[in-house]
Amino acid sequence: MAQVDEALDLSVYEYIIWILDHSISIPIEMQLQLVHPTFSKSTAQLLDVAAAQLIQTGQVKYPLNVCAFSGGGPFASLMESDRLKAITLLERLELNLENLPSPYQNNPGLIQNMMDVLNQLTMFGHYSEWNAYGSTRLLPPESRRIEYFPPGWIEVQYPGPAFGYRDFRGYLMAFPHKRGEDSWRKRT
Amino acid sequence: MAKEDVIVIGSGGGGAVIAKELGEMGLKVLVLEAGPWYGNKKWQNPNLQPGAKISSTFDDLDVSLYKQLVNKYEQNMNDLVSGRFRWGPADRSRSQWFRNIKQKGMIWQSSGVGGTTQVYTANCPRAFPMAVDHVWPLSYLELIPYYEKVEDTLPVNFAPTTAKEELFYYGAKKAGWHLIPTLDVTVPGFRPQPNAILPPNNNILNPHVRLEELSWMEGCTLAGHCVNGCPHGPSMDKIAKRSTNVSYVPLALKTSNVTIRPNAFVLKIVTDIDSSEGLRAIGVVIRDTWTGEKEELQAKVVVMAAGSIESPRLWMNSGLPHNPWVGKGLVNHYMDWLTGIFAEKELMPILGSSDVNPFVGHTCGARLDYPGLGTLQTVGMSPGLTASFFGMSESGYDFLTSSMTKGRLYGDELKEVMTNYRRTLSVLVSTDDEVDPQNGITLDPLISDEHGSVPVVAYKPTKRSKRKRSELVKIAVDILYKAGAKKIIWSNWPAGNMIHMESTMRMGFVVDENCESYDVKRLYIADNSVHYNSLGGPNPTLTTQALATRTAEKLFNKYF
Ligand SMILES: Cc1cc2nc3c(=O)[nH]c(=O)nc-3n(C[C@H](O)[C@H](O)[C@H](O)COP(=O)(O)OP(=O)(O)OC[C@H]3O[C@@H](n4cnc5c(N)ncnc54)[C@H](O)[C@@H]3O)c2cc1C
Ligand code: SF4
Repeated sequence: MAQVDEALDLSVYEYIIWILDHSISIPIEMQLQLVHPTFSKSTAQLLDVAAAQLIQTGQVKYPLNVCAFSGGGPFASLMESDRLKAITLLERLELNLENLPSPYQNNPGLIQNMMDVLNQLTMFGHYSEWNAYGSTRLLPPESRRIEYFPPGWIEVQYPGPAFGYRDFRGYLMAFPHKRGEDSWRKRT
Repeated sequence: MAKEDVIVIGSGGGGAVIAKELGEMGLKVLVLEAGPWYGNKKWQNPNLQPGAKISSTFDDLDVSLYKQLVNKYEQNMNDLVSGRFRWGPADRSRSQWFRNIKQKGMIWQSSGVGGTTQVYTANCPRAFPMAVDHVWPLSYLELIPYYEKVEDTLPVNFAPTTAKEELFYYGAKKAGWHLIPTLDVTVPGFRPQPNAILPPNNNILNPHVRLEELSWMEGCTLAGHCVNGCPHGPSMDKIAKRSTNVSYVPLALKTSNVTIRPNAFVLKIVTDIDSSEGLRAIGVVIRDTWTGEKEELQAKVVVMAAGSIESPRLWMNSGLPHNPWVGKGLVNHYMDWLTGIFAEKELMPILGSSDVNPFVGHTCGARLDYPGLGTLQTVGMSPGLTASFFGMSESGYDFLTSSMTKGRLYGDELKEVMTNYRRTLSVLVSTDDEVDPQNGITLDPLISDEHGSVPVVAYKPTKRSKRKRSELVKIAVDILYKAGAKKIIWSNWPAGNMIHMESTMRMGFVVDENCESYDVKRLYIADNSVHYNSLGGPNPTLTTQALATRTAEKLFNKYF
C-alpha cells in the first residue's frame, strides 16, 4: 500500500503516460489505430475492462473507492490487491480478447507484455531520477533539468552518479596478455 | 558518385572493428550509422540538431563534450523510449524505432556510434571451446589468434575485486566451486570477469588524489556506471570502459582511411548481376534521419553489421534472394535473474563492511562458467534499473512470502527489497541456448515505418534450454545462500528478454565460414548474427569482434 501512495506522490503515473504516449511514432500509431485514443488511454481502458469483469463476477475483495483518483475508471477504484488481481486476469488472458480496445484486441502477447511493462515502468519511474526533473519532467528529454536529489534514490540510499569509489580490493588473477602486460599502453 | 572500397553498415560491436581493420589495411571505408555520435565536436548537440554529415579525423573527438552528454543518470541514459542509449533516431523528441514483439520481454539495443556496446558491460569471455569445435564450420584453434588480437586491442583484463565480487567468490567457494584460471573454459568454475575495462589507476587508493581528478586520469575509477555509460578517462580513446566508440572507432579514425556518417539509416542493399560473379552487392540506399533525404552510395564490398535484428530485416527489405535461414535461429541466452538480500552482521566478517553496495565497481565483475549449461554473472546496477528488473516475470506476482520469492515484486515486499538495496547481490543467468529455426526475425506484413517493413521478433526456448536454465538457477541459489543471503528473489524472467541476440544469419547457412553471404557476392556480415550458436552461454561480443577481425583479412585477400 505504502508503495502505491508513494508512487502517486512521485507522480509516477505521469511518467508511465508520457512513456506510453511517446513510445510509438505517429505513422505507426495510425497503422495500429492508436491515435484516438492514445496508447496510454487504450491501456487504461484495457485495465478497466479487466477491473469491470472482476467487479461484475464478484471477485473483488475490498470495497471500491470511486474517488481514489479523479477521473479514474473501474481499475482506479480498486484497492491494491484487487488491482493486482485484475492484472493477473489479463496476464492469464482470462477474459474475452474480442472486446478489448485496439491494439490489445485479440493480441494476447501484447497484453501479457504490457503487464510487465507497466510494472517495470512504475519501478523505473519511482527509483530512477525521473521525478527529480521536477517542473521540467514532462518536457522533451533535452529540456529536462535535475531540480533536486531524486527521492527514490534517498529512499534506497543510493548516493547518485559518482566519479569513483575507493573499494579496490586487489585482483584474483592477472590477464595473460600475449604481447606483454603493457602492450596497450606502449602502443597508444 | 565517389566509390568507396568498403561500406560498413553499423558501428557497434562488430562494425567498428571491421572498419578499423580494413582502414589499417589501407582500404577506404565508409561507416554508416543509424544513430547519433556522442563526443564528436561536429555534433555539439547531437540530440537536438543535425550537425555535420561526416567525420573522419581523430581530432574531432572531444572528451569534454562526451562527459557532458554521458552524464550517468539512469533515466536520461537508459530509458528504452527516450534515453540517449535507445534504439531510435538522434532526435529524442521523436519516438524510438518500432519493433513488433508479441510476447513478454524487452529488446535492449542502442543506436549510435558504438552501437549497443555504448551500454554494454564490457564482459569479454571467449566462447566455450566445446560449443565451437566440431560444431561451427571453423575450429576454436582458428579463432584463438583473433581472440588474442582483440583482447590486446580493446584491451581485455580481469576485473578487479570490489565487495560484490568478493561476496560471490566467497559463496562460490563455500558451494564447492574452484577458481578456473583460464580463458579457454573446459571445466566448470568461477573466475574474475575478463572484460574490456582499463585497470584502476594506481592512485585509486591515494586519498590525496580527489575522485574527480581520478575520473580525468587513465583507468577505471570503480564508479559503477558501466550500463549508464562510462565517461571516465583523460581522452576519448582512453575511456575506462572500452565500448567500440572509444576503442576501435578512435583507432579507425587514426588510419585516416575511415569516414563515419551517423544519422544515416541504410534502407536497402543495392545489387547488380555481373557476368562472372553473378548477383553481387554494389552499394546501399540511405535515409538521413534528420532530413529524410535519400541517397545512393556505392562500394566494391558491403558489410552488414547492423545487429541480429536489423541485418536480417535489411536483407529482407532489400528483396535479396530468399534463404530459409535468413532471420531464423535467434538465440538470446534465455536469461534469468536472481537477487540475494544479506544482513549487515553476515556481511561484516566476509567483507569488512556492512554493505555490498551493488553500484560500486564493475557492473559485472565476477562469473561462474559451466560448459554444457551456460554462465552466471554478478550484476550491480543503479536503483531504477535494479527495481525495473523485479517487475518482469513469466510467473506474475508471487503472493507467498518465504525465504524465496519467485516472480514479480510489488508493494511492501518491493519496498523492503529496495530499502535493502545496498545489501543486495544480483546474479544474471545466461543459458547455453539452443538454435531453433522457429525463433527469429520476420517482416511484419502490415506495419512499416520510414525504413520499410518493421521486424517481428519471436523467441521461445527449447525444452533443453529450459532444463539448462533451471540447473543454472539452482546453482545461483546455492551460491547466494552459501554466501549468507537471508532471502532470495527469483524473478523468473520472461523468455523474450533480448540482451544477447545472436545467430539470425548463421555461418554455414546464410554466410560461409569467411562470413560472405552465399547468395550475394561481395556482401559480408560482421555482427552477432553470424554466430553459429549461442557460444555455450558466454557473452557474445568478443567472438563477434574476433570474427570481424578475421573477416577483414578474408575480405581483403579476396577482393583487394
Ligand atoms: C545492457 C547490456 C549489457 C550487455 N553486456 C554485454 C557484455 O558485457 N558482453 C557482451 O559480450 N555483450 C554484452 N551485451 C550485448 C552486446 O551489446 C552485443 O553483443 C553487441 O553490441 C552486438 O554487436 P552487433 O554489432 O551485433 O550490434 P550493435 O552493437 O547493436 O550494433 C549495430 C549497429 O548498427 C546500427 N544499425 C542498425 N541498423 C542499421 C541500418 N539499417 N543502417 C545503419 N545503421 C544501422 C545500430 O544503430 C547499431 O549502432 C550487452 C547488451 C546490453 C543491452
Ligand atoms: S566502473 Fe564502469 S563506469 Fe566506472 S569507471 Fe569503471 S568502467 Fe567506467
